[in-house]
Amino acid sequence: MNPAMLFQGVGTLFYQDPKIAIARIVLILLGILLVYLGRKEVLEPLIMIPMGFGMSAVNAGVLFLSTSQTGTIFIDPMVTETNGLMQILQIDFLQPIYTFTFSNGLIACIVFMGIGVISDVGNVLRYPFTSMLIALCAELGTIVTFPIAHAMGLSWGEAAAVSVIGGADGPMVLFTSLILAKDLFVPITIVAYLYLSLTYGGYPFLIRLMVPKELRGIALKPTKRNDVTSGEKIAFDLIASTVLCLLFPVAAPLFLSFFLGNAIKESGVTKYIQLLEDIFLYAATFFLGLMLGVLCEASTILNPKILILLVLGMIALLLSGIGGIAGGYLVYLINHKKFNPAVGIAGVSCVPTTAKVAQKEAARVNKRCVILQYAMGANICGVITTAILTGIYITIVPLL
Amino acid sequence: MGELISPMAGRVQEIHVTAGQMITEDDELFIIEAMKMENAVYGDPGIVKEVLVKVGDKVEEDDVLAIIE
Amino acid sequence: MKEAILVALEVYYMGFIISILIAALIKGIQLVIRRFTPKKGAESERKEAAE
Repeated sequence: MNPAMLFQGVGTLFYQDPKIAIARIVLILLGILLVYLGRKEVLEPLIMIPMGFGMSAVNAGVLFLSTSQTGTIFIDPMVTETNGLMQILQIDFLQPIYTFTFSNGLIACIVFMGIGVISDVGNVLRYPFTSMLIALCAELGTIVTFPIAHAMGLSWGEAAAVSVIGGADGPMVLFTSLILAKDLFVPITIVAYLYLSLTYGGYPFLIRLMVPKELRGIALKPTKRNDVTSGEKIAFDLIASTVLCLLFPVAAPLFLSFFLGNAIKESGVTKYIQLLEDIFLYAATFFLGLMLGVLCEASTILNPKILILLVLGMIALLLSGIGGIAGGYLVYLINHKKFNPAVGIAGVSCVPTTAKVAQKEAARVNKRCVILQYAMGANICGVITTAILTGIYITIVPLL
Repeated sequence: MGELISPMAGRVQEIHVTAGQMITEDDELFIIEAMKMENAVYGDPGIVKEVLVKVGDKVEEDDVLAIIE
Repeated sequence: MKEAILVALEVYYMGFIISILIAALIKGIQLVIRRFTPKKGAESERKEAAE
């Protein structure tokens, strides 16, 4: 008996192209590393633990599908032809989740509903112009990365998809890459989620670099209690959703999801709130992480463009962070120095991570400082601006 | 007579003071959890007259947490 | 390269306008809602006075 046929995970290593074999081993180790970093909370554990496990399992569990073909029974993201797909759906255990929730963006939308249900738009309604201004400045990465990406050889669609990483919204990146850069959507999305997980650990340093201590700890006195009722918030959700869907129907699923989620929160229907917050959000996040990991199979992901994506993703988020803080400074100047520039980082719309980063950094310097409300306002406006820019990209790129 | 108000909306996670207690500027009086993050609430020095919330209560920004003299 | 920069700027410009319009819309929503709420209060006051 041929030992290669007995332990096929190992046997296939010798059969495959050495580049792929080495990549498999690297990815197995990377998967293990991600789980470790997730456990240590250096990276976001909600995504990284399933992702790391999936990554190492899928790269280890390669077998001979036939005498000349290797593959896994996890997923096959490349099958598009209907008969083949039906067959794979009955064999590959994660294929149904992939085909029915991932590649059509459903899972991204469910995550977005969950984000809507944990967000308080009150601060968007109290300080709309300030929040929007910061959020727009925090989209710097989304804009500047585009020409850079194109100059580095990416197509219009690929460049747009990578730029959306600067909007710091996982579901948006997934959505954009599925529509505009289908061939690269796996690596783009992985890079996006990887870096987004890093923002919690990395952005504090950006704040400390760009905002001197005296300004970091500026406490903001809450102005007169501007009562924003639930009714107002629901009205906003409804109107904003409808208007944005009218303007950018391609991104309508995302708008609907976020605003519906938020409206449910404000409606007080506890059963629905629990459904979205406890079940939808965590189930979707869990499977999203798992999917991303399992899609990192060496032969799928080995693409020469991946190094470019890694660089561009970093550029996008770095520039957005810088832009956001610059926006914070802008508001600081406009408000006659009565503002905390650190709030700016929250414009990079990783809800609620960046808002928490802003609050944490401010509280570190001045323990009485509470800027979370302003940060959340910017955070959510960030989601809106990213969605708007995504909608524009998706609409414009096919016309180029 | 001063009202200690909550600086943010969230859930009262921990209460570190009781009625009659004397507090200083540096004491952590309450822990409010918002967005899965813990935030400590500080007050001005004085004596706690009354604590108006209990652990698990949902509070809004500007809600009165305690009365301090 | 130049075309890409122009596209990016065009995207941003449109995004900027729409975002600011949304912000204005938000203020508008609030004004409209506030104009209707005190009116409701006055109406119920009149009803009570009539009874």
